[in-house]
Amino acid sequence: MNILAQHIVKKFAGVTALDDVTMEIPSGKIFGLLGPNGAGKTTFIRILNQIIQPTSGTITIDGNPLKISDVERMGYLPEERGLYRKMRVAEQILYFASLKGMDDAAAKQELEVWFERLEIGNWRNKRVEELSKGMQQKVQFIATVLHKPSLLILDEPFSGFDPLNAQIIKQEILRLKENGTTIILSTHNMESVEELCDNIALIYKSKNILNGNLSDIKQSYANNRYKIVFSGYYDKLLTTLTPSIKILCHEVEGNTTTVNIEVMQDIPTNEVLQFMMKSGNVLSFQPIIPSMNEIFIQVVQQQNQE
Amino acid sequence: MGKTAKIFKREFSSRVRNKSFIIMTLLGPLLLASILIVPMLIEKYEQKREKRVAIIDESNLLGQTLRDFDTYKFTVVVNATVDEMSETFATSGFDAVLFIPNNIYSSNSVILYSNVWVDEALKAYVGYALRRDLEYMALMHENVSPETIGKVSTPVFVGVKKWNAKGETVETEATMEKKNIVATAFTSLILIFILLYGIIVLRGVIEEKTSRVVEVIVSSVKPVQFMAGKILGIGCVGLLQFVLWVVLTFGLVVGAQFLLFPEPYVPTQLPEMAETLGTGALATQKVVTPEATSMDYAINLFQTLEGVNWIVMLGAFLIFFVFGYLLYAAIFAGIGAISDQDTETQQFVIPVTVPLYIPFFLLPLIIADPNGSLSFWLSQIPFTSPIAMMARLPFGVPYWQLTLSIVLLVLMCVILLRLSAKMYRSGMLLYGQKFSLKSMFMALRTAETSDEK
Repeated sequence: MNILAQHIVKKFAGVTALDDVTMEIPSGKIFGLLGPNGAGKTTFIRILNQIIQPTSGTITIDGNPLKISDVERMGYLPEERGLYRKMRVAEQILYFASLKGMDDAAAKQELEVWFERLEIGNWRNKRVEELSKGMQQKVQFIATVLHKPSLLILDEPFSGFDPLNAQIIKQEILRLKENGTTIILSTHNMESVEELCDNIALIYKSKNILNGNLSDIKQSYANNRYKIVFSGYYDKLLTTLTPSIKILCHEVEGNTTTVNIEVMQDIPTNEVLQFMMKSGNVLSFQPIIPSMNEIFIQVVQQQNQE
Repeated sequence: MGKTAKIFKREFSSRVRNKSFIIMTLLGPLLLASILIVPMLIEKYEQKREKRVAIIDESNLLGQTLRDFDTYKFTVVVNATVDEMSETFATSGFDAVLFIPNNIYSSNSVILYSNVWVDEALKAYVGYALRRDLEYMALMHENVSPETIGKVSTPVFVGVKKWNAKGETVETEATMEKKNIVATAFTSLILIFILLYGIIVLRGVIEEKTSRVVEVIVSSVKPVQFMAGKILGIGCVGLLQFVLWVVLTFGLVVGAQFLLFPEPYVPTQLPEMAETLGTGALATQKVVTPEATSMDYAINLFQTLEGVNWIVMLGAFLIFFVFGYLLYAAIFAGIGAISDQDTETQQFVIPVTVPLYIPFFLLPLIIADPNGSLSFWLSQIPFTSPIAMMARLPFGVPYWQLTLSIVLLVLMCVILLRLSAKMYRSGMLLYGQKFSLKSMFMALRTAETSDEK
């Protein structure tokens, strides 16, 4: 399911929640929707779900305008989880599936598969209020994916899970991706973004400020920073330093020195390496690629300065 | 199956299977039936037992005039005093002692002694009988002939009849009284039903909001469909419970009556009334009730109410019952949609239901003047019409007024249902906010900008 959102604007009684947001969510990939709290991510998700309508802008799915029946091909896991507390597990999941238009027999069959996968079949006749929080999260996850949606929207899917269960859910998300599901992952957990996402968009103060392929973005923020380990003297390096190279930090351990440098001008990697070789025997040389966390903070701070 | 039907099914089946529903459905009729049966039982038991009343008569005359009444047997005990009687009372076999002092002609008072609280009926009877005796004696003393005395003490029965425009008698006191009963019964049913199940709708919506299920649901179902399924589902649960209550209560009462009173049950009459009605042709006109069982009375009520078109009456009842519920359920759902906590919402329930209470408390005024302007307007305004129109109907309402009232009610229902569906969708965006007029306004404005799906 390829989704193209163009120039989306959403105003709530005078407050602009989304301001001219354009993004493409490619089919069969995991798309990270990032941004601080209150930036407008949930509003964008609700527009995709057709819970609310945009003030202006268009959304197309595989080239066709978004229509009401599309909600049946979507699965939505809201950040604020919601289950009927008094309803029993199996009954509840089947109810949500039927609201998505799934055939009852097929739903029952699929339910068994998921019960086995997430190992909660023993709880099928328990009321939701009797379950632990993590267990409830699993129930909610199954309720979201049971009807085999082509588009899966997951808002903070790992919250409430212990590391073990978070890993299980991660694997299931990857499995769904392999089966061709398009997945939107909205999260503050940058580790999982790096681990899972192919593409990202960063929404900040109602605007889309960063958009594209995750590794491309990371490469572009890798600007001329290197981590070098060499055997030689740090002092010697300092004496030979040229103004075009700036040392960010260093660490000396016996004869071995580790430095992080930033090259000020567009100097080819080979030249930097040659320069380093003068100071000692280079043991390792690698460009520093910033984490998504660093990029996030950097981009948001830049925006604030502007 | 449409999505509305799926919502309906869940609302209905999850509530009907609920333990509290089953308990309430069984407990309700037991309670209602016992309210009806217990007094009968007590009366039956009391009736069977003969009660002996000793008379200490210092006047040596009045005591002899008291005839046995109902289960009370009067015995004059000669040469006894109150002190003696009080000492031997426990073993005397008497249930009460009537003391007539010799100064009765001036003091006009007697005393009933007993170890239990004396029955009102006995008290009334003794008072009535002695009053007549004293009156009789006083008049005799003035040399008034017994015939004249008989005429003087004849009570006058005032019959009331109502004419229609053509001068035909359409209403007597007896039918008027029955119509009162019909009007009160129908309006009470509607009031109770709306309050009971309207609140359940409110609770349900709030529960979905606080448990955040609502976001999952509106990502699959249109709010209008959701609202309709929910309100109809709970309405049907209510209807089922009501029907079960009526059927079970009826069954229990009939069963109890059959077991306890194989002969028709006759409630005790106050002596005053019995005496009054004992003579004269008017007696037959009024004494319909005591001859029949309470069930017969209901059937009798149904048959003898002339001038009431039962088909129109029951049809209208159904319409006002259903749409009255829908109207208020929509309001309750709307309130639930934009408020967050059960407790703070309760205070808004009362002002909202005021339009229901107004015609209910004004019932006597509506019945007194069913075609007056107060009755007319209350029966046309959609919020008060379910109650007010049902109060007017037994007394005859022009068809155009009935039709207009129904049309207005249905229109208002549709408007409010759509409005509350909008509030439901946008109310979701107002998590954690207190209910206020401002938030309601915001919800509606937001709903307008987000259009229909």
